Amino acid sequence: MKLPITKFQVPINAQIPILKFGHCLLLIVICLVIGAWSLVIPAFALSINIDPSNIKVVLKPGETKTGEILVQNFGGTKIKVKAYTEDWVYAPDGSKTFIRSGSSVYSCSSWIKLDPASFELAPKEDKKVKYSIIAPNNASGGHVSVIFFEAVIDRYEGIAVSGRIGTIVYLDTEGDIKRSGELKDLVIEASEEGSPVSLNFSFVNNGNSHISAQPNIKIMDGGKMIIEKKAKNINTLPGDTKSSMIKIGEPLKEGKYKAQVEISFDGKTLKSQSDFTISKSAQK
Amino acid sequence: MNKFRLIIILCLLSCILHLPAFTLQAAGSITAVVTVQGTFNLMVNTDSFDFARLTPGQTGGMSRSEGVEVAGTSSGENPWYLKVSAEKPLTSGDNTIPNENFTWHGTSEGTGDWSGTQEKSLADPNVAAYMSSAEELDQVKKVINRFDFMLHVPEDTKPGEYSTTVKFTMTE
Repeated sequence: MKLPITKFQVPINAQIPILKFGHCLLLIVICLVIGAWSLVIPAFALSINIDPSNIKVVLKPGETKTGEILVQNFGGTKIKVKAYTEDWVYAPDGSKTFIRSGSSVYSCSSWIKLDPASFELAPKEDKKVKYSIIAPNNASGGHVSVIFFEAVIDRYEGIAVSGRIGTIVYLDTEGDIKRSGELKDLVIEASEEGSPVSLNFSFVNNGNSHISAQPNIKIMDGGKMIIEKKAKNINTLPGDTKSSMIKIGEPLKEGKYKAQVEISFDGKTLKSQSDFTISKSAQK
Repeated sequence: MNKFRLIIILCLLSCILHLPAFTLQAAGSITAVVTVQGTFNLMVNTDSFDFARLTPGQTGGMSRSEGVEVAGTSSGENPWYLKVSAEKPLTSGDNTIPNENFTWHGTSEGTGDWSGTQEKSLADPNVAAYMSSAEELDQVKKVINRFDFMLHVPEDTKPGEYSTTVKFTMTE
């Protein structure tokens, strides 16, 4: 006698999701790994993200440029954010040293208006901060600034820790930009086979705007180029002199060589070259 | 006759309603646009620390043995820099401890230039604590740096609770 199929019966070929011992073990292992990972990875009290991290604008005197910077709270707690501008100059290590707004001759900080200048961000919340850059009628040359977004600490015990993140502003006045530089003082430090070779030189920004120059090193043996190496960009403000040292990692054999430094920016290339000799190693 | 008119009207209506669909089919493709947002992110794992109790002439480390962890990530083309500074000298009322006595050192998980292998004073705002490497920019890699702070209390320091704000700055 055939039993009638009721809605509680399951066809024989159906796939039933049953957790076997192996599956349980796998789940436990995954949970343990996630638990251990959360202990290893530090939880961050503050996590602030911005986009963009730099703004490059070209303005005519009297012209205004507007835009938005997205500020996001990626952290798990509500934060108060203060938006403000500061000036900056280059430090000897290539980083930027931040100084009070209006204290640099190349400042455009006072030309920048921010809205809102202070606000709160809940966890995972974001805000678009509007900026207006108003070039005065007598604007000329290049100018720089930074728009900071700083987490304001209200309550703390001991020494407070805060963080700020900045959008760097580069402004050129249309029709009044002169990017020019000088490459000088090329000195090659080289002694004997196997010893490191280093090239020392200086770049002088004698224009009226910011320059980001790309150095390129070439080592020639006779007429043949045997080493070519690109180095980190050299960034300068008008009037800056930046000294650089670039080490050649590859060992050179005994002989006479020519070293050439090329610095490229704004479609121009400056060149300087010098001969040097590698002597036979005294250890041989 | 009425039925015939009704059928013609329904056919015309059907054609008009389906016209956009026909247009899409004729074009054979649709345009999908996505905006990928840039990452320029600073993370700090605490909002405060302390040095517990120190006596004049003594040098001590922070109570927080795990230090302060500060991470940076960038999807930009330019190198990024992390700096550490103190907003003002450690102050208690009218009394201060100059920042020359407030130092830091630490370790970095990054492949860029880390200047915290030797002790640095918070009085020097020119030195970057960390400069990112080209590899980290290519991979949009999160770099965790660990800062340990030390304080030397000069002999002539008046008793009190001294405080300041240590600020981490991240820019290109």
